[in-house]
Amino acid sequence: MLMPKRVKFRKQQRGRRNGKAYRGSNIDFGEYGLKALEPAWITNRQIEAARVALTRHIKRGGKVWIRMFPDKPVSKKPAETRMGKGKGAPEFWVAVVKPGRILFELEGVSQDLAKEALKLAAAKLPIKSKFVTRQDLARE
Amino acid sequence: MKEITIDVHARKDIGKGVARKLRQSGKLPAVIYGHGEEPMAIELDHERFNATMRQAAGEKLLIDLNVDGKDSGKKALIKEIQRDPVSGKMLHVDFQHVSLTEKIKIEVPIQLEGIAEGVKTFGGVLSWTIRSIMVLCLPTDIPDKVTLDVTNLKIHDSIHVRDIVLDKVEILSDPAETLVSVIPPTIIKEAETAEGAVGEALAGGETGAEPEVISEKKAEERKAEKDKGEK
Repeated sequence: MLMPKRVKFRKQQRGRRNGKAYRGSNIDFGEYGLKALEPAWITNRQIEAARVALTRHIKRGGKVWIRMFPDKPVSKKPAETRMGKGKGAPEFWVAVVKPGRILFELEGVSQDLAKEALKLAAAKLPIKSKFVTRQDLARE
Repeated sequence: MKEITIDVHARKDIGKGVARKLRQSGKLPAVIYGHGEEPMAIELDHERFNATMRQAAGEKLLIDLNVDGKDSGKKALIKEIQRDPVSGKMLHVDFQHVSLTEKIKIEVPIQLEGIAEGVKTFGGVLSWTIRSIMVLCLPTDIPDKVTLDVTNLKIHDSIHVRDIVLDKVEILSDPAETLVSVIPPTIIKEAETAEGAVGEALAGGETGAEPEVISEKKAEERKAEKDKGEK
């Protein structure tokens, strides 16, 4: 599952998710992509589940790019713990996604297959997303 | 290359507030610069420009700009179109003023033709690494696209920049760069496809090993150095 190899600090503050994703909003590697329409924290488990659904559907052939990386640790306090005594332990990793971000890219398969595969992958994610192609992004 | 004429209006006010108001009123903020001239802020009709771009359908355009109803005599190329990342609507256009007698550097898109033999017969994957090349030529000689025939490509075959031959155009991209190649198919291992294995992989992450923390390592090193110094 995706997570950083080394980090500067174990825990992070939550931060904000305002605005749109101006970077990473174009299809740069493949032919088809999945574009986020809402802001969200996407966990590494959700990314893995979507990747598995995607690669299974295209079976053989095709190339997949994951365009997000879960580099933000999320901490949680254990159940039935009193407040205080510091921040909880890191539990999982998330990718901070803003609207417009390309989440996955695909190449080497037909458009129908890519659409179906990305639809299955989108079902594993907690946000609304849309199927886009290179040509779509070049025109309004 | 197609030549068209566009009506634009010069504007004095600049900035994001002005640009937002222009967009609300159906106009599109733009700028024209280049060829040693001062940049000029302009505005154009959003709907009309959008229709023009749709008609062009990816073709390169050499644009005659009519500023405030008068022919400015300026020829321009579209340098960049900024778009909204969610809706895809145009936000701003950059025009580059060009001279018809001076060579310019420009990117030309690559288009592939046919289905590679390695893909059709052997089930390989066509890897299209570079989708445009940088060329040097006169504005009137800019090719709309470079078409590459990939029909004869077998697995592990590739096409490089040096294989492209163009008239009146100098290619500036690195000749050794690979444009297209056919790679063998990736076959998913049985263990990976088994339901249990996927479930385990997903479950394993929560209790997975934590990454190395750089700041803690540094603190330990500092402490060790301090201890050494005291001794």
